[in-house]
Amino acid sequence: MDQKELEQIFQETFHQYSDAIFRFCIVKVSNQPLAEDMTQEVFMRYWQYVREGKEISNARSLLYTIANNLAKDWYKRKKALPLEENDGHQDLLVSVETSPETMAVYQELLRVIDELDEMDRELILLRHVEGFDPKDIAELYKESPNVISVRLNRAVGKLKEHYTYE
Amino acid sequence: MNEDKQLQTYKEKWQSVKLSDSSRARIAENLSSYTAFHAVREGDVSRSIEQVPHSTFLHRLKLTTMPIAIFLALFVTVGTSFAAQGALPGDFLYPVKTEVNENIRAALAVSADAEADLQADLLEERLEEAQRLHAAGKLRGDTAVVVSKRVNTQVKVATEAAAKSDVSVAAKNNTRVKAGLENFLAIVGLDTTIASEVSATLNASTLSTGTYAIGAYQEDMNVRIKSLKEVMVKYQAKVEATVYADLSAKLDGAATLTADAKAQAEADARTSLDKAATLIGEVEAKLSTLGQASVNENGIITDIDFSIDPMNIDRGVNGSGSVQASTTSNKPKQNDPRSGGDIDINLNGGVDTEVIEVDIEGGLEAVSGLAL
Repeated sequence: MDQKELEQIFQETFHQYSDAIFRFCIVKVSNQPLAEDMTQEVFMRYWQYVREGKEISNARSLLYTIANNLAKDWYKRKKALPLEENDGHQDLLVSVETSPETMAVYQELLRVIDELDEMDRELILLRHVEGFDPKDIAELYKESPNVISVRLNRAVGKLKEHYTYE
Repeated sequence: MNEDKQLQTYKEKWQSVKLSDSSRARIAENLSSYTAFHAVREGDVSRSIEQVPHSTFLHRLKLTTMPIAIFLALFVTVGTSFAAQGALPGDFLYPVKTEVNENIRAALAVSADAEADLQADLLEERLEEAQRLHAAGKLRGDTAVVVSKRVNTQVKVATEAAAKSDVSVAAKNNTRVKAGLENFLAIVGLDTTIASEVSATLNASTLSTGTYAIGAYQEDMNVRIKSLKEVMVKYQAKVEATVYADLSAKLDGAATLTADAKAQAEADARTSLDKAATLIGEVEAKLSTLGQASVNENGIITDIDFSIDPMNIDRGVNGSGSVQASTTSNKPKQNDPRSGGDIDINLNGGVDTEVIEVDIEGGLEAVSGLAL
C-alpha cells in the first residue's frame, strides 16, 4: 500500500475512533485539553505502527492500548511531581471555548466517576458506552475475562448507587 | 427509579461527550501534517516511536533548523517592531519604535522632500503620543519632561528638514508643525496639572517654527537667485540682449524683495517673498524655453543646454556648438548608443569639445558607411 492509501485509511480510522479515544482519555485524566492532546498523540503513535508496515489486526484495541500506556506515563510523571496535590480528587479542567451545556455534562459524569475507582469507571465506559466485549477488555488490561466480568458487575452496582440524575 | 434506565441515561450522556468540532479539525490537521511528514518507509523500523519529533507545519515545509531560526528571528523582529508602533513613552517597546522603526523610515525617505514630510509626520506622532499620555493622565513628572524634550528635538529636526526641502513642501510642513503644536497646546494647556515645562517648550518652539519658516523661505529664494544669476552670466552671449536685461531686472527685483523680507514682520515678509518667488518663477519659465534646463534635486535650475531646443525651433538661433560644449561636455553623446564611442574617438583623436556637433554626425555617417 502506498502513502496515499494508508493516509486515507488512517483518516477513516481517526474519524471512526477519535471520539471514543477522547472519552477514554477524559475518563483517565479528567482534563479536557489534556485529553485532546492525548487523543492526538494516540493517533500519532498509531500512525507510526502503520507507516512501519506492522501488522494491525485490530485497530481499535491497538488505539486503546496506546491510550492506556500514554495515561500510565502521564500518571507516572504526575506522581513524580513532589508538590502536586494528589488527594485522589481531580478538578475537571475544560478548555475556554467549551459551552456551558457540555461543561455541565462533564461535571455530572465526572462527579459520578469520582465515586468509583479508576478501573471501575474505565470498565463501565468500555463495556457500556463503547460496547466492548468483556473478552476485549480483558485483553487490554491483561486480565482474565472472568475477572473483568466480576469487576464490571460490581462497578455497575456502585454506579447505580451513586448516579442520580435530575 | 428504574435502574436500567439509570444506566441507560448514564451511557447516553457519555455518548454525547465528543471532541468539539474545532478540536477535531485542529487534531485532524495536525495529524495530516504528521502523516505527510512521516511518510511511509516500508521495512524501515529503525526509528523508535519515541524518537520521532512531533509534527509542526515547519516540518511539513521540510525546513532545516537554520532557516527556521532565521524565519523566527524575522518573525519576532517584525512582530516586535509592529507591536512597538503603538507604544508610548515609558512603554517597554517605546525605544523599539523610536530607535528602530523610525530610523528605518528615515532610511527609506531618500529625497529632501520626503525627509521633510517624514520629520513632520514624526512630530505629529510625538504630539499624538503626548496627547494620548495626557488623556491617560500620565503626562506629568518625569514623563512630562521626557516628552517635552522629545517634542522639542523633533520640532528642531522637522524645521531643519523643511529648510532643505522645496519651498512648497517646506511651507506645507511648517504649517503642519505649527498647527500641530497649537492644537496640542489647546488640548493640554487646559489642564493646569500638566507640567508647565511642556507648554513653555511648546510655546518657544512655536515661535521658533514661525521665524524659521520665513528664514527657510528666504534662504531658498537666495539660493535660487544665486543659481539663476550664475546660469545667466554663463550664457549671456547666447541670450538676446533685451531678454537678458529683462530677466536680470526680474532677478534683481527678487533679490531686493528677499533682502527686504529680513527686516519685515512675518506677514509682510511672506508677501515679499511670495512676490520674489513669482519673479523667480518667471525667469525660470523663460530660461526653460531657451534650452534644456538641468534641475538639481531641490528644483533649482543649475544649467541650460542651448543645443537642445525645447520649443523645437531652428538650432541656428542658439549659435554654434562652441559655447554649449564648454559646460555640457560630451556626456549626452556617450549615452547615445548610435554614436559608437570608438568611431568618435578615431575621427576626432581626442575630446575636443568644439566639434561635438560634427562629431556625432560624423560618427553616424561612419556607422552608416560601415553598415553599407
